[in-house]
Amino acid sequence: MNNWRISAAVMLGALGFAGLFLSSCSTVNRAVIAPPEIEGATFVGNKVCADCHTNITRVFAASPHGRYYKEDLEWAKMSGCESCHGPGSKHVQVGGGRGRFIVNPGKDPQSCYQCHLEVHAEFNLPSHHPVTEFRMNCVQCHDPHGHDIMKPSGGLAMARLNESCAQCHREQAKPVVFEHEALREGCTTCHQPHGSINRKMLIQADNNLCLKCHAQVQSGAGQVVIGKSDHTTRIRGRTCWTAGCHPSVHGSNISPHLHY
Amino acid sequence: MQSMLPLSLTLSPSDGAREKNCVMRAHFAISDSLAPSDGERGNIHRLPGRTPFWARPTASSGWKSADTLPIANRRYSRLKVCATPDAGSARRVPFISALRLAFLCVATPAALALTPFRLNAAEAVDESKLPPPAAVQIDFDRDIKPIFEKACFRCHGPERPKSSFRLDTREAALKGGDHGVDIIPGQSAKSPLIHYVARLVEDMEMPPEGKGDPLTNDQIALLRAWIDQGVKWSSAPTGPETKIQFTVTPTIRWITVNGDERRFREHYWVQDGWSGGVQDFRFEEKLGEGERFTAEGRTFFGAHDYQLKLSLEKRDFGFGRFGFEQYRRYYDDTGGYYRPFATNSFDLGKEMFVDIGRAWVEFGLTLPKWPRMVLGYEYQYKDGSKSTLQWSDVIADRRDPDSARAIYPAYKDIDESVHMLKLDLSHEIGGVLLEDNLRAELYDLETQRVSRFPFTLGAPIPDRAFRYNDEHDHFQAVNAFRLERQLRDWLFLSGGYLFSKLDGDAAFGLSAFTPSDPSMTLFVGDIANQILLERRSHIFNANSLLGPWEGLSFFAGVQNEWTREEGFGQGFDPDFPKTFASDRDKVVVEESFGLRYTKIPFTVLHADAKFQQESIDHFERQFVDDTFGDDRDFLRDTDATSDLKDYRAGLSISPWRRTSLQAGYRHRLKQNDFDHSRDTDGADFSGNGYPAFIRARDVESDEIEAKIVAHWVSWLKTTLKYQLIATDYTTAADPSATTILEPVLMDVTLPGGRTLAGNYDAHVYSFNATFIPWRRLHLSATFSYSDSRIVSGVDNGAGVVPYSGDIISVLSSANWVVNEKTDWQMSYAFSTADYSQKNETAGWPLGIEYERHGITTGITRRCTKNITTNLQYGFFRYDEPSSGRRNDYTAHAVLASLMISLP
Repeated sequence: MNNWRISAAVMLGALGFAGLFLSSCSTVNRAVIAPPEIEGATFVGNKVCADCHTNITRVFAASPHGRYYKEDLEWAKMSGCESCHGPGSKHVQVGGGRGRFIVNPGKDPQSCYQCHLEVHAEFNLPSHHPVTEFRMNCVQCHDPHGHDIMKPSGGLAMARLNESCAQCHREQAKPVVFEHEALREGCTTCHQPHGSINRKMLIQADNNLCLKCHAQVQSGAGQVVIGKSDHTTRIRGRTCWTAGCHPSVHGSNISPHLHY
Repeated sequence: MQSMLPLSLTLSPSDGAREKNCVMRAHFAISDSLAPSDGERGNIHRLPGRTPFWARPTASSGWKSADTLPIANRRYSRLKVCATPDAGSARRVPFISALRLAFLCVATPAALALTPFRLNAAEAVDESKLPPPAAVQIDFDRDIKPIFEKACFRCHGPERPKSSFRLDTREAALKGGDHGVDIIPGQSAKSPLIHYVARLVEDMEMPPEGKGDPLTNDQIALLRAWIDQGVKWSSAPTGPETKIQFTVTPTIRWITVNGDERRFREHYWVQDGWSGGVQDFRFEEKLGEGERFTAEGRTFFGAHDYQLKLSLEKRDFGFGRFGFEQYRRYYDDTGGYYRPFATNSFDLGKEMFVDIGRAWVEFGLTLPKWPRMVLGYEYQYKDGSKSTLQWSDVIADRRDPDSARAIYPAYKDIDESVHMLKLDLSHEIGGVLLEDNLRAELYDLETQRVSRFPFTLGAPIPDRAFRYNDEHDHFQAVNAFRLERQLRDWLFLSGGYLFSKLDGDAAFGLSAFTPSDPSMTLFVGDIANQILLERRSHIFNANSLLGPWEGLSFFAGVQNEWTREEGFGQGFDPDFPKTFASDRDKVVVEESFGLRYTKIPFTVLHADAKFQQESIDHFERQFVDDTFGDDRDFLRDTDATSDLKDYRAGLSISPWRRTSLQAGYRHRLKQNDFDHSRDTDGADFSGNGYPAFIRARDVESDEIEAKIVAHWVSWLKTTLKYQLIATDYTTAADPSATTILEPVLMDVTLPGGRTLAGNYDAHVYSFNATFIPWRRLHLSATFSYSDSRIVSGVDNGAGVVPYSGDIISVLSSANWVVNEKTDWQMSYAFSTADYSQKNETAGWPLGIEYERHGITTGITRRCTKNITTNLQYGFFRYDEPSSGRRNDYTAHAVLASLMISLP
């Protein structure tokens, strides 16, 4: 039985390769073009981009991407503007213009995935922001050039903690009477923003999520006292945010202990 | 037949300053011109390929075959004859012309008086140095256009043309730019363009040094002949100008799910069953020179997925845009799972989804030399029900509280709306770029959280349910002003100020009801109908970027933030009146530094450092007017300070042309200290215990990253990446005394002091290979393996155990151009995780263990020039043993679409 399956698989594979081989011998002039490639275009180097996009290129060295930025034309494919936007010769030839022979990673994250492999893999996890579904894109949260004040994420703009998330998650970022100090450390203390195996993109699904900050020295083994309150039994069958204990994890208007 | 009467006066400084700043020319020109059409836009027709078929191919990954990417074959025609000399100026409104005239009247004498200018009229050029015109009949496409493409369009194309001079159309070329008319038909020797390219005018050599090779005498001769022969544009036979382009893709989709269909919807963001509509449509009409109307969107009935975007643009004038889009986010209503209960997970039997949408309109003004202005309004909303993780207790034995596990699902109704007004201004004055962004928003939120508990195993319904009603609305205004200037070639400065003001109010109500009759309220809990909230922020920012030596750049910035938040409320707790309040004053000073060095052969070095000092004066109080003091009454005053140090360093090295290595290290340490100057409660105890119990908290993290990219050959590229993340959380608390319940009721003394509250380690290995054995076959695969472990300071081997495990994620795709008309695509996505825990006896294993597969394949066939068909099939499978297989599903999907494009 197993031999039969192996033979069938080999036959199918052989047929597939034969098809590909025969296909490759035919006179078909078309080719697959994958972003950020641009058919027929060649690399022109960063200095050419700087002619028109001065406001971006002059501050780019201070951006996170500027850490691997090199001016030389021979590096254009790997660490220049064109490594993300595609070779620019045709864009220059037609005098530029939005979307004219140029790749916009803001619309298609394939360019970003070239380097950020682990991020691409995280978007493949069950709980993720809808980037692969094309309802979000990378530049909604990240400013790849480091100069956009309304999308702070490094560079010379005015970065403010949690602001990228607050653009959409206003409910979680709104002011409250009693805050949860964890928000001072940032949303990513608890959430994995690209994707997670846990629902709500939590970094951990159990009490370790909270206890990594809230654990304290105990008086005896097996004991779980938080503050002055014995939680030994409570945390056996519950997470901190369930069973009506501390569900208001983003802050509360009425309960200093975030009970509701 | 064209005619032109040039009257030009060029003023340029004798010290050789660059043309863009120091040359002024007043000109008056009369010309006839033939207007060429716009070049064709480089549209990209995308093929659905690597993208899962349920996603919108309109924004698909962009995989495409070469023949679907029409190379911009710019067709120039003589369909339009414009007899208006300098038509652009003639169309301007009178007051703009008056301003220009006034500016010239004032600026010209002033410039003459203040600067040692010299007269540099066209007549001053020594025409004898010009190469003679070529003695050939000029063909624009053959002789002239390649010169423009190589040497001119880089700066003088339609977008952001230098000196406002464009060479992409005949009309624009004859119109000239800031320096006046540059081409005089029939008189090449008098045309400034020829003088510039022949490099006869100092500081006006074109292309400028560093922007391209000087033109050869042969090229100049061709340009002269072209001008002398009447500046004829394209001679290539062109059909009628493409004024309208239209694409529509009717689509029908069918998805069937066996198993937990709600989990499938939550994972893939789509509705199962039949759905269909227009997956993508786009209409574009060129209304005139630089004028364009576009409409695009999608309508997917059955999936509640809509988008419409309208845009009307006129180059160098402005635009108007309108849009609406909505999609639906699905949620599974299943709760948790606890194997010893020997029952399936609970669900609410409730379809849960939230519609997320926005509508917007904006108008922009893009007049050259005027501030760029964008005024817009946007309405955003979220409406629906979502599941929460605030699960409720399920009890196996009412006499044993330890038998409870919080696995009963909960949900939240949400109704959120935002009205936002925005105004953006940007302008460059004297080399200083000024930007101002104003946002004013009105936010309104109403939520109702519902939790049902306790539920006793075997009972038909939970004993009771709780409703938590929250209302919140606020008005927030944010204005950010920013300026930047390239002061020297090696010095860039920027700075800004942001002000934010928020005023809001909120309300809260808690009540319990009987699940069998939600209208029957059992009791009313805490209520607060009057909660006032305020927030003010001021942020100052100043930065510099220096590059005094070639290859070296250094930046430094400082930012100062001051934020004050206040909250005050009145309510009942639940039988006695209570008041509560808080205010927080936060001052943050942040310094950042960075260094880049690129002059070591094949190498880029970088180093960054960020320091942040934060102090927060934190005050909270609550008073319940119940005539006796207890721990519900409290007063807390905390001075919190934090100190952050964040260092990064790394390099990128490429010793071989086809290989590069990147490596980096980051160390981050944030130290928080809390000084509780007051911490009392109504029972006169010193300290209410928490959170005014924590004295310090440090978070220290080390990260290492390394990546090797190898382009082995033109058809094979591999990338290997490794990341290590190690984070320690340390907490220090005061010693205190308390009463514990287990193992027996007793008073204990907590020693306080520092403890390692948490330790997190993760290794992430990623690999990608892109293999192109033939130009018609493209294979790509990304593999990622991560291994992470977190151990908290409460690892008692029962209730809390380490959260550790590994994740594998694979994404692969194949795209094959079968023949001239047919493409085939296939993709496979897989992920699996094993974070299973074994603490069922004394705890609740929450770690997940699952396996997910998704495979799609499809064929795209171009039936005719205008019609393309696409058929795709997908298979999906999800197994989650850790949920008792309650969340498992298997799904099949079929999608068929027909893309019609005109012309």
